[in-house]
Amino acid sequence: MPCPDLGALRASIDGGPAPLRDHLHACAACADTLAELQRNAELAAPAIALTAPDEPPGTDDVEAALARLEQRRARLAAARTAPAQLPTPTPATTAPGPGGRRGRRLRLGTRARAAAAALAAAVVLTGLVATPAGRAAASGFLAQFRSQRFQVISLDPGQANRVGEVVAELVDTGVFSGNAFKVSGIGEPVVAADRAEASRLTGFAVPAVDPAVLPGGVGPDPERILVTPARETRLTFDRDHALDYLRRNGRPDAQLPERFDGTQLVVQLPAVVVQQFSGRDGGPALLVGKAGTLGLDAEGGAGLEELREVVLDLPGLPAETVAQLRAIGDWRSTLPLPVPTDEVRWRPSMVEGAEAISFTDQSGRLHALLWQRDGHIWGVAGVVGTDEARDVANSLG
Amino acid sequence: MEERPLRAVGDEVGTRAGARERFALVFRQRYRELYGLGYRLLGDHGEAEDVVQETFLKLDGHPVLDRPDDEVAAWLRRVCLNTAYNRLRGQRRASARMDRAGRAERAEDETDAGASPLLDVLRAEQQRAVRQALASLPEKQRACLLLRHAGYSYAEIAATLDLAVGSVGVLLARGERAFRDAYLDSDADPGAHDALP
Repeated sequence: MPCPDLGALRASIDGGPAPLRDHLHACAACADTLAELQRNAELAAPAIALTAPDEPPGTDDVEAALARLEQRRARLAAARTAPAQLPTPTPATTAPGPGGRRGRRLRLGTRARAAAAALAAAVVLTGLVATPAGRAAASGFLAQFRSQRFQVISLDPGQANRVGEVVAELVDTGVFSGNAFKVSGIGEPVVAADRAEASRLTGFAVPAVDPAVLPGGVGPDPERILVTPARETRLTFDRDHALDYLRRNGRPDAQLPERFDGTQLVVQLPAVVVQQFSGRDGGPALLVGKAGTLGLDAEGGAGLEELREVVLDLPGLPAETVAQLRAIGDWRSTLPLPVPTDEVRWRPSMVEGAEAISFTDQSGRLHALLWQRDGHIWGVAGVVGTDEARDVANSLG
Repeated sequence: MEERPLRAVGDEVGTRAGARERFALVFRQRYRELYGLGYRLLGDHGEAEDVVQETFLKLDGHPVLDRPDDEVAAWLRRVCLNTAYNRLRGQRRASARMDRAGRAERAEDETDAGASPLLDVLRAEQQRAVRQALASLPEKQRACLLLRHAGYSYAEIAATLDLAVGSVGVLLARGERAFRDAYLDSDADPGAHDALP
């Protein structure tokens, strides 16, 4: 009998074609090969058994999975017949415009624009992915972003446009939707009678500004105190729409876990108070602001890191912007601050020992300082000199 | 609108209802085994569930649903494995960043398991080593090993992988040899390979 091939020898271990015994007695080479195959199989069997799930799904699990599948089938069927439900294009969007896709932003209604604005904030906040350092730091934290410091993200006009286009399309196509935007007047500030009322509305102390540090020509008392209450907005992630979006945009093999579907991105926008001081001409000359910290969290099947990864990997986002966001070490406590490079110059600075960022507009007349301290975001801005702005900032305690 | 005989409309409705029932029946029959395959490859319950869902979405309306059960089963296994492989390739493309994140997550898991039996930690490490060794194999060898050691017959493996039955033994022999080399070269504690069932 000729030597059996490797496959026949292996099959013999599993009870395959068996008349090999006589040959094996006579052929030491085949006997050795079979012994090796036996050893390999005996090593593989218990090892590979370790990869099996501890418990197979029960009947209830199977029925629940079938129900989820039926829901997905229904959603997909609805999505295929849904184009008529999308906002009707206005003449402005159907006319060929510069940049092509830019016109889509014009289709967004008021709610959609509000959603886009919050989503843009979320994109910036998520600043996007879990670095090893970030993950390690996160092990002791809540899975939640809390801004404690700033990181400037420079955006030229083209990059800013592209980020805007991506965000608009995500809202336009239903990848993110936000029912919370039904609230009317969201983001509109109200005028507080005085600092006490502003403190009550915001929930934190509103500092008095020492008139002695105010620049010349600026009135000693605030002309107006504007308060924007804290609010929370929720953006719901639709996995199937996201997959459609990714596949339409050059990612035919895109995959997203089913559990991501329906996850809510919770954007906690802080209360903000701005004291507005007038100059000699009665117009606003100096703004002194204070806010709580921005927060971001994810509720549902996807974690914040995972959604951050999805957002950072979105096709269309400028690579340089994504690289800047990825370079942030501790993204959970660092607020990316988008700065338009064609409008503003910036440099790092200090306010009472806290890291700050100093901004100057292209005219050189407007200066601003932004810093975070004691769980609050602070800002001073106006038609003042850099040193004058810093004097006011340092006086705020 | 074109008028159709009432019986034809009734037949069509009946066919659709029959297809839905058939689909649900196949789902109930095959869910567990496909879930097991997905889990063996991916090592994550959520990912395994996703793969099975994707697989059945592809079955929805596919003509193979009208074929005999064994052909449907082989088709489902093939699609399930391909879907899982696509997912693994996507994960690889997501690069070392995800690997680092995964290691950090495992480290956290292991830290969290402080009160768990040491055995659980060792078992988790062994599972990682096994999956790492399997991942180094060509996809067909890997699928062949998983299917055989999950109890599938040579005929079922051949149907799933679109092979001649006679080729399964060779694939299995080469796969087990490659697995042995990769597994014993892995960074898991070599002694641990013999320590646990």
